[in-house]
Amino acid sequence: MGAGGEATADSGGPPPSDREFQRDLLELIPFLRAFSRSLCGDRELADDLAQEALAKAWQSRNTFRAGSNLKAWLFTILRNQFYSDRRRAWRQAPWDDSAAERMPVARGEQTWAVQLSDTARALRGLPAEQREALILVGAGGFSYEDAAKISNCAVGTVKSRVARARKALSATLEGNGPLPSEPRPAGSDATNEIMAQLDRLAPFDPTQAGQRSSGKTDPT
Amino acid sequence: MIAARARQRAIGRELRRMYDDVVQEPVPDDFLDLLKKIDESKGKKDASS
Repeated sequence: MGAGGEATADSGGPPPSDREFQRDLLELIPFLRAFSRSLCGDRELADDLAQEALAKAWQSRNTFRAGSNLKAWLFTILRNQFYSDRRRAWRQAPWDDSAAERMPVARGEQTWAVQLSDTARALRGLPAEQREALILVGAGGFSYEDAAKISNCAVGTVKSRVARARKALSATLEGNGPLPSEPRPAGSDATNEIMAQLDRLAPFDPTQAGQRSSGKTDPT
Repeated sequence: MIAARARQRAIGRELRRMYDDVVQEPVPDDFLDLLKKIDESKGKKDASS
């Protein structure tokens, strides 16, 4: 660094790492799409948002600090795009409770919410910030610290959001909370059956991180 | 509270499954086209420098 940096300063073309950066972006597209869909709920809107974020990421590539977490950086861009303009289509509709009727449940196999499980429907009833925190930590595998960076808030806020989201989902699945649309058979037998089914699914367990922070207030 | 913990575990698995389902989907051509376009514009820039 320092005085020796002159040689590359005016060489014109993009830095040699561009191709590598592009390759890294390509590898992260599936994750970007998954996060986007968890924010938007709708496949097409989510892909539009993800593409916009991808283009933005490319334009801003010089602001990326080499060696830092590219996935978190990319998710941050997507998240900012999502919240930056309330008028954009992806800010409304499917996850929005009031728009539950318009939920494109039957559009095709690829829709996030096809085979809408109870968990998916309960997720839809959460405030966006809680859903986002829960997805980042519970599904995306991010640490609370990285999730806090992505969501631009304090670590404690993420913890609180995740705890409240889990509590709300649990209450909904137990039948103590409202389940948006699609009534399901009530009663503990049905719930137990669903839980038994869920237990047979993949053995990943992100909820075991040991946080018991319910009761903390959310500073936002 | 064993039931509650089991429920939380189940919710975690389900969230993970939903997320992974999308991750496993083939990347739509739109995305690859976008990267190709980036590549082309980059190539133009390279050529003009």
